[in-house]
Amino acid sequence: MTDALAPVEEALAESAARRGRGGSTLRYVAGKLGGALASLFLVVVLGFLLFRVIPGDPVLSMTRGRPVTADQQAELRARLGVDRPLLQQFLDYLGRLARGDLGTSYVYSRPVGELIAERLGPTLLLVGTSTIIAVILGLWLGIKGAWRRGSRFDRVSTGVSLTLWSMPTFWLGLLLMIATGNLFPSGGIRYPDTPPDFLSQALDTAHHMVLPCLTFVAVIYAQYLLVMRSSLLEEMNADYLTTARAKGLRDDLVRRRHAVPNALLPTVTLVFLHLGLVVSGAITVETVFSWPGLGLLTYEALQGPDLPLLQGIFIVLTGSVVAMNVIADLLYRVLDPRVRAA
Amino acid sequence: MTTTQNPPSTPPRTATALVWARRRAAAARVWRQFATDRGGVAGLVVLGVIVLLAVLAPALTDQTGLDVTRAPGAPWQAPSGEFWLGTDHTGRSVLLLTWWGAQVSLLVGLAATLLSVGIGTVVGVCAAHFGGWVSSVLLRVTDFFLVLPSLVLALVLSTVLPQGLGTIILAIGVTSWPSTARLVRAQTLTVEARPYIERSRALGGGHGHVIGKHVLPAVLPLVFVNTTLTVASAIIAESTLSFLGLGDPTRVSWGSMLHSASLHGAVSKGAWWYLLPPGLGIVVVVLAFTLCGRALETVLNPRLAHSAGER
Amino acid sequence: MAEQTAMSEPVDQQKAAAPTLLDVRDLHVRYQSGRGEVHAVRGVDLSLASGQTLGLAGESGCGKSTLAMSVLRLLPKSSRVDGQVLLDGEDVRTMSWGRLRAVRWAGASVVFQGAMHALNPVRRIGEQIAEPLRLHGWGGRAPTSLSPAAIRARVAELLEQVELPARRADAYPHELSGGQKQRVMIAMALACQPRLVIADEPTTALDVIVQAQVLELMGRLVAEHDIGLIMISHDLSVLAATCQRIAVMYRGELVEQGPAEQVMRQPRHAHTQALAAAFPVVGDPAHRLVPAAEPATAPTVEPSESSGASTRPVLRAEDLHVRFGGRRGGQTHAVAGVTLEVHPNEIVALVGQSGSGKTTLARTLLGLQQPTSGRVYFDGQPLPTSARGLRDYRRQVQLVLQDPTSALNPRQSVYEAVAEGLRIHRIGDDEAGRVADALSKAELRPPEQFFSVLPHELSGGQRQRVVIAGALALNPRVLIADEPVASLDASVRGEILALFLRLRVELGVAALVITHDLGLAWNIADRVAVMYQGELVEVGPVEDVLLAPQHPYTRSLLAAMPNAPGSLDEVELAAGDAG
Repeated sequence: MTDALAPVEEALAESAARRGRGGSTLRYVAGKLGGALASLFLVVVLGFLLFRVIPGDPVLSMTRGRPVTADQQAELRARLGVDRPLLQQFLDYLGRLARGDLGTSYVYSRPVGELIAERLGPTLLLVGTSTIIAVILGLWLGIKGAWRRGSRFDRVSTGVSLTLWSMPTFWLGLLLMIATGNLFPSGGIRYPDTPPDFLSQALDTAHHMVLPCLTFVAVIYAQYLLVMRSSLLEEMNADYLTTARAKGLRDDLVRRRHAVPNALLPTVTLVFLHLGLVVSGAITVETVFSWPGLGLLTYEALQGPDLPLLQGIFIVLTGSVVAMNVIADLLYRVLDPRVRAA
Repeated sequence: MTTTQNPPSTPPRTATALVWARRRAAAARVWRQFATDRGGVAGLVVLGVIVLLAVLAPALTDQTGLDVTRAPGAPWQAPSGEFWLGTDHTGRSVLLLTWWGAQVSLLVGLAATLLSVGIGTVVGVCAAHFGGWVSSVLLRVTDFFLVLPSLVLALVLSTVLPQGLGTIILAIGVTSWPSTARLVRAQTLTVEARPYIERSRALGGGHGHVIGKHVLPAVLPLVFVNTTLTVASAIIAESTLSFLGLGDPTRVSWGSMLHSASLHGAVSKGAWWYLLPPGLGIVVVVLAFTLCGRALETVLNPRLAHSAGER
Repeated sequence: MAEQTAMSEPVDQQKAAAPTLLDVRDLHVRYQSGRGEVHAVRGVDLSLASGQTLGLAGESGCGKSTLAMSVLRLLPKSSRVDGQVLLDGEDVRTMSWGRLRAVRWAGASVVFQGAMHALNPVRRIGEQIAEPLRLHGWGGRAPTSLSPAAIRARVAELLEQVELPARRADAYPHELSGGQKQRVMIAMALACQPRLVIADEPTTALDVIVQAQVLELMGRLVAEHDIGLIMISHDLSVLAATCQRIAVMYRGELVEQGPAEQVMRQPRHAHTQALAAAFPVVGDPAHRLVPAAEPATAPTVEPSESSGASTRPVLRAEDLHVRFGGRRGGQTHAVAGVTLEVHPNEIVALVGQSGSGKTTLARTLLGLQQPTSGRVYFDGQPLPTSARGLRDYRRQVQLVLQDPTSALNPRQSVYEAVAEGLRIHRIGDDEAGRVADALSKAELRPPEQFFSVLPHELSGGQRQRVVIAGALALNPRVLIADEPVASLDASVRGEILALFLRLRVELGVAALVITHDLGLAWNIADRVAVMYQGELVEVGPVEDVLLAPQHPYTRSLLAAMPNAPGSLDEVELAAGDAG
């Protein structure tokens, strides 16, 4: 009769596994997408709250420090629609967003959407290149450091990364500019007089990108290094590594096949969770090096302050970070079989 | 460790004396372990000196030197015997500016951290302890704000609110709490899963008793560690906001110094003496807080992985 | 079996040179830890001929795992090993790294404790079993000559040997139950046909019935393949069921060694005796600690005749149901219609496997869990539902948890832990006196000595006494104890059980003891209730239920006890049915 009783536990485990493989994948993805939509809606609401409700009278904060007559203010209010009831304003705002209309820049007198689209390319180029370099560098140094914990290499690399992490991004950029003198261009993305053929343009862009990229990498790679290092250190106490050693695996195989892949999993989540750091890095680095991307646009919007532009940037930046995190969640599910069943 | 192996021969008689003796012993133990971390001790000493100097600035220096209209020197002077760190674009002493700048940077860093850690702790404990819809709503909100790029939010807040120290503190404080909340929630969940919480409930303890006697004492060391690390991020955030021109225009901070240096062309003039001191100030203070925090972390929570917080 | 002969060929030449498989001579292992040097193994001599089985017994921290890990040089770098560890005549200590890697798994393999963490959580188990095959080959086949298909076939064969379907090779560890994971570990250990297998607590954390199956499987495979086995356990009865010889370790030294039966039945060393007593033989009057007649106490109460007529039950559950709604519509019926009584001055044992609902039942009796339907009565009154009413109720019924280490707040001194209940219930008068009184009732004397001590400075048994004292401080009438000795070392188990008996005699405290261990019920209980899948399948006086079990589940539990007379045959039968 034992046969009837004992496999209960086993049957339970098996059915749980089946459930994990089958129908719940769809439900999981649907749940994540639903959550993402809710988050995006929250971003939109927050955009409204921040720019229309908290300031009280947005026209006052827009015209701060400028001599503006009461008539001009009233006209501006009517143009922005802030003289209407709050609910009506909110609905108008939603309607315009739904049509993809982010409003009109106060300073540029051009549609905000157009301005953002124009600046997206340079930002993606700079942020993309730097993040890839920083992730590779950080993970590689983190793995090396953790595997030889307490060695001179580990101490130096952790110390350097902590110091760089403690630096304000923009300050490091300014210092690099002073230190390199005329070696690299001090701002912009291209010289105006560069020949229009692709190679010259690309080389000139690369030349302009060296310093911003260097600054960017220096400040954000530490994050990846520290996360990878501690994640691997935690994995290194795991029992299954003892099993792997007992099987007769060489040390580097134990590391490559077992420890590192497992330690990478939490790192992936954290890398995406800290995207906010990348965004703030983009703002300051682009400001320092006058890199014509979204970061510099943000800085320009702050100077106005050009509230419609700032609102548009806010919605686009936060919205894309939220979206990236959903992608990370889904990616994680593919990478880690344990989450698939949970 | 060795002295506590045997019960003391003359135990304290009253319950309060007992509790205090235990706390003193725990504090001494923490200090002894902390003292073995050279980085942490160095950080603590540096912080002590800087805080002392910042507090004593009004007594040791002459505030009139900060006034642009009464600048003592010529603009853009390189370091010399008279101005050890040179002068800025108006002729004020960079040394004096840096000295006074420490005040604002530290003040904003600490105040914003208190606000942030306070919100984070309350939200974190509530999200873990009460369960049900309270918990899931708090968790959703925390996750939402955790993902948002906090600098962008802080930028917007300090743009739409009136400029001033209060705004900066508020902007940093209300945008940096989610990581603390996450941490506190995780730790509270760990503590609440321990059987001694079950035992306490079985003894008849309610929410107040469980939170006050078991959860908070276990969570606070972690919150303390988190505070030191958050101060570091808050100081960087302050300098960034000020650098972007959102600081209090009436006060000198390290960030605002770098703002005017860059605005008035210190780079093209090669005025490294104007850029170096405030930046170094930030690096040293941030590094000192980080080192202290990491040392404390290994003492108070050896199992928690080291990770730098979000800026 | 064809591959068996193939396996023994290459090792035959070595066999001639060294007749013993493993020879440990004067082994010392020292660790460098933060608090100075720890001398974990102190001069151990041990030898094992090929095909022999040896059990290594001892409490946690006695050095038995260290000894075993030193055979494959798997100790941390901070350790220092002196003496000789000869594996097939070759000293493991002086091997080159390359030679050591070749010996690992191919010469000697390990079945690790709690396969939970010993398997890589994100790789399929088939890959993990195949890994040593690709590295070492098997049965004289060099790894270079192996096709992927051959390896797949070998993995399937190995899984079949441990009675798992071959398609489970695609599963991840978290998709397997504890017993299945342990089977995977065994399959992995046998993969390269080693001559020695070291099993480190292979059945700890498994249920009794699964444990019996795993032990039977291991015993059979080791015998079939003529493999030498060293099995490590704190549980003497587990070793006696599988091993020919048993060696007992205590504080880093071997204190006794001999044939399994002899060590189990006539232990010579005091420590072995304590270990043996912790695994009582059901039916042996010597292991029944309950006084047969109770002249001194409560002569009017006859707990064993608990038809309910003689006394009113102090605690009574009536048709209790607890359901947990899963979020995906699935429901767990944790407690399914339980009616149970605890009479004054009576010890009732609630026995069941993990997942049988016994802990949920206990939580419901304490009012920590709301029943879905049914009632709990205390002293004839239904359990109050208000927060205040429940608080008063909890003065009467107290909880003692399994693991005293985690049941005490590590930051609070003994005094605070014991006084916690008094403070919650605002019993302010003479707090120190009450605390001292409770501590001495729990036999921590003199109580003042313990006031300012922190839990980590106490031994496991002392900690459990502090937990009990904390409960006693409120003068309860019933103690509900959830596995009160399961995480204690064998030698203190008896003391804590004796304390429960004494509390009943001296203070008249009734107890409901929840356990997976029938031996514990035999030790101290008056009545026993057997729980299976949320229901009580059998309730009655201990002698009746355990000596003449009626329900098939009770019988299978008894049969799965490693030292039950003739138990192995029965379990073998049952396992045969299952396969």
